[in-house]
Amino acid sequence: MCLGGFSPIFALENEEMFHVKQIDVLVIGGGHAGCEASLSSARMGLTTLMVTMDPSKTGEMSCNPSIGGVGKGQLAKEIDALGGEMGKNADITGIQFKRLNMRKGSAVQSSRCQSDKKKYAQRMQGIVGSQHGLEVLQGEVKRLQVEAGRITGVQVRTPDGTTHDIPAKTVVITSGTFMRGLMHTGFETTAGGRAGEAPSQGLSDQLRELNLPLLRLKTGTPPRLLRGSIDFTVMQEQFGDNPPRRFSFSDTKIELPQVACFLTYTSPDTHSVIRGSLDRSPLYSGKIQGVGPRYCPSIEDKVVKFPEKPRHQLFFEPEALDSDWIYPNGVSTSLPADVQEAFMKTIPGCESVKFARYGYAVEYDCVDPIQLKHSLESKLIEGLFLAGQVNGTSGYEEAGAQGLIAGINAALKVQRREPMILSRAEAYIGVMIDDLVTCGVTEPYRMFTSRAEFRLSLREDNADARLRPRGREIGLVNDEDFARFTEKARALETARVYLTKTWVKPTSQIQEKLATWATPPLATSQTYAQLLRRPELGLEQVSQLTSDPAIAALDPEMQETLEVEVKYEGYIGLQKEEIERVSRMGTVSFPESFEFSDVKGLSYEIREKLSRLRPKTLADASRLSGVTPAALSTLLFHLRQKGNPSANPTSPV
Amino acid sequence: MEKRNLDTSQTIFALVTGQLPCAVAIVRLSGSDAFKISSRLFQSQGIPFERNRGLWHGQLSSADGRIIDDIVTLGFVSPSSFTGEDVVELQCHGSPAVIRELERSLVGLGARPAERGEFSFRALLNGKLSTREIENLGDIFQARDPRDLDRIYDRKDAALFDQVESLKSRLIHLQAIFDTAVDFSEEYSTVIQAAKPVCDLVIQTGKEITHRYSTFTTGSRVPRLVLVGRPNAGKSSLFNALLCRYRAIVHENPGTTRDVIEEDVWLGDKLWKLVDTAGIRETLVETEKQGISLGEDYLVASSLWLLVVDGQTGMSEQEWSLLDRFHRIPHIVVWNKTDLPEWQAPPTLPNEETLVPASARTGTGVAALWEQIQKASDSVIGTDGPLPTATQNARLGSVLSELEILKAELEEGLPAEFLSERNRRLIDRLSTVMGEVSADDVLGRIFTDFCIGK
Repeated sequence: MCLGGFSPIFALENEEMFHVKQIDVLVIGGGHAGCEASLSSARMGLTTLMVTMDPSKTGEMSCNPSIGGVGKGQLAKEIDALGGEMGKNADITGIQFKRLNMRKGSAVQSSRCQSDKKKYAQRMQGIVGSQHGLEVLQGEVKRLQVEAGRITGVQVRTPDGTTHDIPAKTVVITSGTFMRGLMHTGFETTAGGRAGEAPSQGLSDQLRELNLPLLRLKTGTPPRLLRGSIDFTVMQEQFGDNPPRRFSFSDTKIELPQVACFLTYTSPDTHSVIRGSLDRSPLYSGKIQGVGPRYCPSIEDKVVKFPEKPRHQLFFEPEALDSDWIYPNGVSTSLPADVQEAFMKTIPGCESVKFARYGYAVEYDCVDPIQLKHSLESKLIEGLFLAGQVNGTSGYEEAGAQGLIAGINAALKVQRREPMILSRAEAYIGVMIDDLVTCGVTEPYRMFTSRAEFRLSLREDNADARLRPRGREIGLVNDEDFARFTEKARALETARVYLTKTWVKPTSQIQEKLATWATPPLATSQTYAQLLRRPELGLEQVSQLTSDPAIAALDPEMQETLEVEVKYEGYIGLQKEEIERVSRMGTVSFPESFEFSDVKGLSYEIREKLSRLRPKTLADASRLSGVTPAALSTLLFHLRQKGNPSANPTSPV
Repeated sequence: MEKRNLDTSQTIFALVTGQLPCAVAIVRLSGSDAFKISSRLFQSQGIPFERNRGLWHGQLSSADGRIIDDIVTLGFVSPSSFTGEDVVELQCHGSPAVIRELERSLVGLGARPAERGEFSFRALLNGKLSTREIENLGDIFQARDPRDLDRIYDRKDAALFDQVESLKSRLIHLQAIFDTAVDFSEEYSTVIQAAKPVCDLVIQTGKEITHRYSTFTTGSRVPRLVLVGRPNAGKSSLFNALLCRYRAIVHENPGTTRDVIEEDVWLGDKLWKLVDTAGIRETLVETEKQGISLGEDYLVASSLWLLVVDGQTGMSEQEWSLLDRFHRIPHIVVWNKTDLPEWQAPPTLPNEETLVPASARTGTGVAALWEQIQKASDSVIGTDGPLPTATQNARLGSVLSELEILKAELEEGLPAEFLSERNRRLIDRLSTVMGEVSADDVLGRIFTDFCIGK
């Protein structure tokens, strides 16, 4: 259980213990997905083993030293609400916190923090190391053991060169970018999943043999620069919010000193250096074949694809409080080292910059997640779960969220309980997993708020209201946290009732106050809620009109929740109807014998697609691309004609 | 909507021809008792009248046995009839007294007056007509221009589908703008700026489609030739001169408003509506103050407009302004009053407009003007797009009105996540524009739009 240096953590010399104490959940990998998977399974009381090639890299931030962002902040908060570790770890090791999208009236706000990446990994290692029921083994998984379509364990090679068969009831693969990882800097290539670390060989070959569809993707990272060689005085200093807002719904504290980032821009010279060296770019010479993310382009991509843009924004972010390394956010590149040096020197403030490490691109094997169930268990191999970048996603939050769900579901499977599946109406996590398993991936998948059709309801501020009860149910939310949650929900409800049920009378005092906010006087009495719906007013003003403690009792975050929910009740209400409509569609199922090809009024393409994919319910059909509301109505009509009892007359479409 | 009795077990009847009195009036019965009921009121002189396909001549009597008319009766046996049921058509003389007596007798014998569109509804239920055919039928009744018949029978969903798809791809563009604004919040204001022009474009092109349908139903798709000009430029004389030559084929239009004078004119094989804005000249003078005046409304809706200029005084600022603002709509400048001594040669016009010197009073140049109008009309007719059906039009119309709300919210500065929400629903609804017409649609709307057999 203790984690110290490079020594084998798990008592391998006593091989018998595997037979005595069988592993319930074996997690391959110790990244963001691996940590959440291992912790959730162990916290649910299952015997858990994490197998990782280098335990000192557990919880490592391979790329940017930050957690959150638009869409990703929501994921981090949801992980926390369910009882995961990422939010707490981010709070405790964060050195700058900022909320994004703070425009007036915005309902889609996201949190982001800069992390001290050393402390982030150290703390995570500490948590993993001290977690009861979780053990860590250093080694490389060479083979999965599969019998009759079911996982039975893995074969591990430990650093001493010996191999060991470890039986396990379930296995979660969270191998990140390590499967056949190949790094590119210019035309130089190095096998590995991360700078200085060896790739995992063989595992992907075996997955291919097991008929799991593999893809080759690519991602990249910028160079790291030395702090002392940069002139920050010519850059724009950027501070975080004061006071900083936490990720976690638990009682964490932000205690590290808060620091600034620096904003600068590329110059026309930068662009001409890059343009002049494209023949040496592995990306543009065709050497890299993996598909990279469109939304996170390398600097050479930006220069080629947006030639009209005179400059691109760069944020210089500190990697850790006690580190000289600076992460230049915005210049991910796989150009050769000399080109990287040349173009960086054209950036204001970087004239004499020194490199700590060069940027690189990494190509890696991943498994097309279309072969997974919503529980993240493989459809082909029972007991095998996959989570994180190996499923074609990108980002720590995306990985962590899948790791959490895979760990929970592996544990639930061992406990012979139903898997936990979050719906699209419930969580960003639900949206992500549904996207992955129903559509597969063609490029690294990153969360955006626009992927969530119910984003007005899936907010950061209500992640706990949405998911705390789910976390509690599976045993990941402790008594203290759950009591805090129920108390908060009660206070919010009291304040909501107060606003919607209490009337403001048009007294001269009130009218005067309204006049100072440049909003029309009251014609008749109105509820506080009605007043709050005026675009020019916020809860901050409305609460000044009353001395009732209901609103004053709320902390600023809860006030925001209340304001958004009351102000935009109409929109949120519409979305609720939509959610109900979709959930009703989920209850309308197609009989086994249903012939999609017989449905008149559908195009040939749609009929063909439906016949091939055979959705179980109308809701499943609605998520297939090209299946329009009109097509759904037609399907429903057809079902009713066939006398399907689930297609009742209360039209779900 | 008023609750309607659509019980299909009953035999229904209705007068299916036009206003009484008239030469012949036809009362149609449909239903299982059609022959039984009519046999109580009709006796043929020669061939026995029984449930059979055929034509009989004989006497129509009232329920109490008095002979009231000498008629021809047509029998159709299920399923070979319009409704698919047994149908009997009684072809009477178009006398209000006869028809009244007949209707009373039919009710007495257990037949029920048909609801609006009920014959077509039964035809739909019995698989004799598809919803599309019924929609077409509704439009056929409304068609005024013979060319519209082709547009209705040759409705090409593919052509309209392309147009609706292009609207949809613009809404998807709009969605991308809203979502980018939210997901890349640091660029919010730059990104959101791009939304309004896209929104405007969708509304404008969408309206072109719905406009096509509304101009069709109001008959105003008949191209409009609008005369505009200052007072005393000679508009009314020209109007009369243009009509005079074709007096024999001019129809008086009962819908003439007191503001404008409109006349239907056949020009070759094309029907035109000639509009004299003489009655609104006062508002026309004030256009600049008023923004859009009634006169401009007519101008905007015109297919071709004639700017009538008094050749003695020439162009004033108002005429220049009209030419400037409405140069996109085909137009001809008439340099009037060539017969008067003070008439001056016209100036060079900015957009190489066709200019015809004429005298409305003497008729000089009017023939040349007709020729120019005819030439211009060829291009005007060619711009028509595919005609939507009533259902498609209604669906698109509701999408467009919600899009107006979206536009207002955009201008108000509502955050993009809310705009995105509305837009997403609009995209879904736009996808249903070309979708199947369900029986619910048919019941709910189509049958109230038109009336067959009643």
